[in-house]
Amino acid sequence: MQKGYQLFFAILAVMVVSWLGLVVFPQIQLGSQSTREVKEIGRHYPTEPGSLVLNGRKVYQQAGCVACHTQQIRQSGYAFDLVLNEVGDFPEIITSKLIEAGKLAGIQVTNEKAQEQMANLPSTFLEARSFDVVQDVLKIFKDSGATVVADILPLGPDIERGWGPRQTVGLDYLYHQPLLMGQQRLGPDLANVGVRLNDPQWHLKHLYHPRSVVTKSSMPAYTYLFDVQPIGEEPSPHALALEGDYAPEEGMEVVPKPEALALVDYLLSLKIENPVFEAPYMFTQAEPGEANNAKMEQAQ
Amino acid sequence: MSSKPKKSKQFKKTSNDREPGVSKAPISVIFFVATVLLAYWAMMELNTRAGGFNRYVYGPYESYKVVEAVQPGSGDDPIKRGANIYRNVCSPCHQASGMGAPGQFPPLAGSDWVNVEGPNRMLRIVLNGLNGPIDVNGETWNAVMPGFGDVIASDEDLAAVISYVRNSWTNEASICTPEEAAAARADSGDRGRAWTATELLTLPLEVQ
Repeated sequence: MQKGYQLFFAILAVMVVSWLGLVVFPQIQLGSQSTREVKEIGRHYPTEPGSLVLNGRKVYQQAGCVACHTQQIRQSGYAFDLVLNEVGDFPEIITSKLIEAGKLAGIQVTNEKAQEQMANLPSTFLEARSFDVVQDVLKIFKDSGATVVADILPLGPDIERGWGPRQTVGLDYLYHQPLLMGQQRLGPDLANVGVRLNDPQWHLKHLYHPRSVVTKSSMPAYTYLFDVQPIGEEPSPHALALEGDYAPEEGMEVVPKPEALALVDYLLSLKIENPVFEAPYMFTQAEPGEANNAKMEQAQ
Repeated sequence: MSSKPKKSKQFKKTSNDREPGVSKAPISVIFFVATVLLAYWAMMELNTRAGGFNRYVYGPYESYKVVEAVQPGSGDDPIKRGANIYRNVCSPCHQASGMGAPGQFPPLAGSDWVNVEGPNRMLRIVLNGLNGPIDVNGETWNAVMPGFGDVIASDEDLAAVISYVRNSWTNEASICTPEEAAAARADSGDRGRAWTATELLTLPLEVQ
């Protein structure tokens, strides 16, 4: 070992470089994040989970859900919807501009089609795959009196499956401690399960016997989260309404244990339901129903 | 017999700078070139795909600028729209910082003509220009500003640039709506000559 000190410094350098790259820089990049006001929902996001949700997360860990379910929505690309919101004072000019915009995107827009688009406002007249096209189209409509807006559409297999409206980003996991992101997708992704499947009764039935609600499910039955007990003087209010092969014997009922209720509460708390700056999507247009309801309530 | 002295000779030769038994082998040129090329390629990858290591940039978005630009409803934000117009029309004199130029062009940032309830007087100045002395933040300026009513022909753009000025730098004032801009333009009609500060002070702050 004549060159021992060289070896020592070489090993030290390798360790320092990996420590900087894997620990220090990620900490600087993402570690100091905190909740942030999201203007679309008018409150801070994300919110701290309650104690029942935290208990549910423990059950989630104990039951090993993370082995087969991920909690991360991926996004492979994005496109734009170009929306005509207002026509303005010169409809003839807008007609020709719509045709011109169609040419840019390689679509034949006829006069009648342009008229139709202008009659049904707001109308999505173009889906553009590149931001350059968007900028060119916005340039065409500049100073024409019309209001044209580009709305972003996240793309990717996960989003096509309806697993979520956008990709998940670091901010979404602020209160995920420990992080149960998962690696294998033997079952569907759960990042947005609280929005996709918001019925607690469905979740309880699914945990007790997955095949009772999803015929082809390969998920094991978590019967140990439930008590099968004789029906007392009055049936339990929490008893599951099971039918057919999955129903318990005569005079018996299936009642969820507190663990099952906590787990369902945790699942329902998993929501990706608002855009954030780093993962935008068109929020107001995606849920016109809710906005209208809110307006009607205000009016009353 | 002949191998023995050779061995000792070799050991003697290596004892200064190499472990015993290690023969001298120069680093191959190909290996060196390949390392440099690999490092170059890695740097190019980081440059194009790492998004500047910004915490707000996740793939597939390439950079912070792209994330900023693709926010929903882009193109409809009057302040953003106004920023473009300001850059082209106003910033040659009033500067991108809104500070103007000492002795020549009064500042817009923190100006007591900007931070008022309504945009009426600002609209008039932009539409028809300003001539003669004017007091800004206690300092008197004597300069000529041409009217930009023809340059900023659309009411949306006029409202946007006023909104931008009223909400940039340290300024905090209301947004100017296209309706206000249209009303001010209609009221000015074919005035055709610049305003003076005294005339402006007789006008209401809000657009009527």
